[in-house]
Amino acid sequence: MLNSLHISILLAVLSSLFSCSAEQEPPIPPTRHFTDPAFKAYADQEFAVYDPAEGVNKQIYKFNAELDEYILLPVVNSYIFITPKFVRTGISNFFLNVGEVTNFANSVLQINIRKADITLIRFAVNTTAGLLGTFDIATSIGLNRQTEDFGKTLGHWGAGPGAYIVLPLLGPSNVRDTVGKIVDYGTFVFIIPKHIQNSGPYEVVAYGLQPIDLRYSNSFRYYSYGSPFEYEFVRYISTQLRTAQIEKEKKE
Amino acid sequence: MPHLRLVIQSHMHLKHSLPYITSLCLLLVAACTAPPQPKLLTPQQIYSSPPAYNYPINNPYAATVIGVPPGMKVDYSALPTPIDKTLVLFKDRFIPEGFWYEHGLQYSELLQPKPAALIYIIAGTGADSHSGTMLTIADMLYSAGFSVVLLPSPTHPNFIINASGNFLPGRPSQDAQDIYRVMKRIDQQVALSTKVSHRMLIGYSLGAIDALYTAKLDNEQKSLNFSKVLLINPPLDLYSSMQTIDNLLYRSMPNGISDADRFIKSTVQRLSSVEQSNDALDFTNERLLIDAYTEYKLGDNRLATIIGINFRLAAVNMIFTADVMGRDGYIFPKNQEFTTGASLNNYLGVALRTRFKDYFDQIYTEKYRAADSSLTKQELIAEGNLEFLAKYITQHKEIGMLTNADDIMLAPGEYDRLVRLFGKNVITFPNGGHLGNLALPAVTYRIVKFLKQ
Repeated sequence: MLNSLHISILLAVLSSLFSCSAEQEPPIPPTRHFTDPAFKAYADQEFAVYDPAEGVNKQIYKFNAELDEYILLPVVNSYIFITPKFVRTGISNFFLNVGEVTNFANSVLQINIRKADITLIRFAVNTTAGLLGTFDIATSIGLNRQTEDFGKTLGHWGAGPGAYIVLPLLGPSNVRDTVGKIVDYGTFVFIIPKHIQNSGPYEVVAYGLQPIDLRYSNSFRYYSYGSPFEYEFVRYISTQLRTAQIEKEKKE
Repeated sequence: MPHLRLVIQSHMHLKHSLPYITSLCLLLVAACTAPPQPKLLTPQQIYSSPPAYNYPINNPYAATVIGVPPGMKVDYSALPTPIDKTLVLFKDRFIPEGFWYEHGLQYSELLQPKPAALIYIIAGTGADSHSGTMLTIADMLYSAGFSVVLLPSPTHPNFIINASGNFLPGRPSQDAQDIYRVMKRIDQQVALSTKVSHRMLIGYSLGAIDALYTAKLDNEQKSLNFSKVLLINPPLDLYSSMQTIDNLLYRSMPNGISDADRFIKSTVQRLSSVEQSNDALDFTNERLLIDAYTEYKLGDNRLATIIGINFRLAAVNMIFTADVMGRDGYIFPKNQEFTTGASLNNYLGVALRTRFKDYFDQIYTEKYRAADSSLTKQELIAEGNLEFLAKYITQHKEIGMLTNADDIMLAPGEYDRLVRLFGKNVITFPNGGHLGNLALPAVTYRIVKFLKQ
């Protein structure tokens, strides 16, 4: 069932990508034109991110926004309606605690003893005293979450971001971080025992609850800023923040 | 699987010096004795005795960017959140595919279950009903017993696309007509779900000028009959304030927008160096800006430029949206379809170098003069000055104005003229910059007192 869903989403994306190349007449130059000497030197420089697949990325961005509007957000809203806040917080904490596996593995790969240490203690404390991670006790005693992933690990060892990519469902990314996501997923699958992964409850949680929690925990709303340049601004800001995070951690 | 076992073993190893159960108990105790959150005032406490005015930030740029420090706000956590609504005004309007996500004008409402006064609130430049200032005003008024309707600014792309009559936003008299059309429609909707005793009107920043012109229009047409009109941090003169704010951008970007990349990178770097202990770069953290300010990471020029960039971006969104919708061929070619897939990099480069003043001089004045050739540029500028309506203001005692002596939108001398213009119905504070002190209990108290007197 899951596979057929994946395939239909993929088809929807692909069909939307190749369906829009209507012929247009040559543009009448606007009053303020980018070939004007006053702008020429600068046009295309601002908030520039290497984005060779821009046309395709923009279609996927739209697809994600539509998916969000018609499927994800209505589901999240029902989720908010039927569960009390402390339950939702507990569920978010649970998945963040499971994610410590990824944080730990990548702290080790970055040879960051302090982070690996904190993550390990966090996982131990929250899994036991925090009742399987539903309470984040570690943060309240001053052990803050050390978010790590393989994309950051690659960045840590000098890999640049590469081309900007908008991933279906997952949103803004780049070549480096996409590879990172695949590796992190592979590592996670490798670590979690097979008999757990194949159990019914695990499938319900991983494919049902986790995506809902992921969307619930992310406050980003498409087109809420109302800018006709939202794609360009999101592309720039997400790239900047990611770079700043990697730079900051290198200095530590 | 081997990894997991390793994790658990190391954990046991770490804790070997203390008995396992004891260490858990200690952790739980530590968790329970974590420093308590500062106690916030409840909405009821504001009105039991007038709160003292104690806004702590004397730097107007910092005040404008930071607002009220988290510990000094009012606790509105028990209130419901405003409900989003969509209104379709022009059924046959052509909206290009690039704006596929626009399904109508977006506003929000928070209605009392019992009969109550309804207050319309108009957002400032580029803001909509979800902006922080709008939510602050909604919370303070709803908890004081009012119903509220939150409207986007006529300069917000959503308003331009769905509610603008001529795609030339920024002219108060025209914006007022668009707003008034929207209000009358919403008023019918609201009447279906709650009983409205009477109506009031509030606008902040540019929205304050819109509010005044809307009140004047209503005074002629008498559909809504506002019993109180409050202008919060209005500019005295729109044209002058627009330039004052736009010029802030150059304070730490002498070459203008060409310096933006460098400026943003270094600002992000400074912000990320604030909390060394906190790993995540959490820009939603309420304390981040105030910590950055108190640790001297953000100087005056940097703060001023942040405000300037914000304003420039609002102008970019407004000008480009109006251009596409009006097919003016100002930045976007008039014979091209605005679609999702179109690359906008070049247009963004140009739009970012288009100041509000350029739009005013090159498009706005041209097109308004084309419609009415007797109109001069000077007259259009004068219309945006509140003194233009001095007679109307003095004749109408229901109109009030709230401002701060150090509002950065006001040029030297404009504060005094503004205070003189509104006579008795003036609420002023010594500091707070532009809207920075709005969430303070003492300010809330004065606003509600004015509306209820």
